[in-house]
Amino acid sequence: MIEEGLVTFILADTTIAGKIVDRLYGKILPQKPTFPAMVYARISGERMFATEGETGLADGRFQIDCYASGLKDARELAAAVRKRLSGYKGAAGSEKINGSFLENDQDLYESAIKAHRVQMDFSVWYNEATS
Amino acid sequence: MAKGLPSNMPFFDFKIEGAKELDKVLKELPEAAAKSQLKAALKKSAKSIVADARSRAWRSKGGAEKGEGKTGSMADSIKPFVMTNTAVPAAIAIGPDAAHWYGVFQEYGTPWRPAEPFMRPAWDTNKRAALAAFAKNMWYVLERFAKRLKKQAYAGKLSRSGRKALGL
Repeated sequence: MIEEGLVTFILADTTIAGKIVDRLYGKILPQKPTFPAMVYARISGERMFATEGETGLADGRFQIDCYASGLKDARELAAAVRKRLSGYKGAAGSEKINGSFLENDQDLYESAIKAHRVQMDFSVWYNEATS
Repeated sequence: MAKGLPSNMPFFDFKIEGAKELDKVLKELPEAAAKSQLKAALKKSAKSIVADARSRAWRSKGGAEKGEGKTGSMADSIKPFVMTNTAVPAAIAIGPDAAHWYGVFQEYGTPWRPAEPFMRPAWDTNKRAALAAFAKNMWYVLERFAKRLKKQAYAGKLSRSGRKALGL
């Protein structure tokens, strides 16, 4: 699955792993999070079809949130993710990314946990097995 | 910026390429008339995105205690807003109105509430259909506009905007 490939690929980056270790969570943060941390979620997914049927080419929109106690730390983490993922083409774990693009990013503040958050949207084109 | 739209909703744009005939017709119209017809076609083309977003957005049943008694549900407030002061001749933004600012929590999630996006999937799913519909809708609104002017002219009741559109 592309999600597992993305997680493997992101955590293989020494700069990112140096900051978050393995604190890259699916969908939501744990109740008592340690910062910095990251959350990823699939927002939407499109499959490409041809007259012969499913091509196996898919375009997924992934939201990646970088959380940190300070804005500078959150932005540095987000920059590391952007450098790692935006414009990338190649292997991601056992998956293959055909192209990955940062579409959007914004700074947010989460007062409930007193943390800064940089929210990013990536468009990830990848291949998946067809039946 | 569109009036009445929360400022931190996602923002996208797209261009129509190769619509030369359409461009020619629009250039023959006075600027104000061309702009108003462009806006009408954009709003019409946004229908599928609006409907999809409404189907995914929160539609609280217990609206009264959440203050929705006065403002209606967030889902129903989603519509195209005409943008002003833009660098392009016409632009719209689609989303809930400003009274439903909390839509950002659903769209992006919070630390402990997963995102349940409604605008981005609606855009991703319908953008191609909206783009394809735009050229067709543009011709439709131009024809409707021309028929209205013709009717007014034959009746001798050309409105001020109609006279302006005809350069009179």
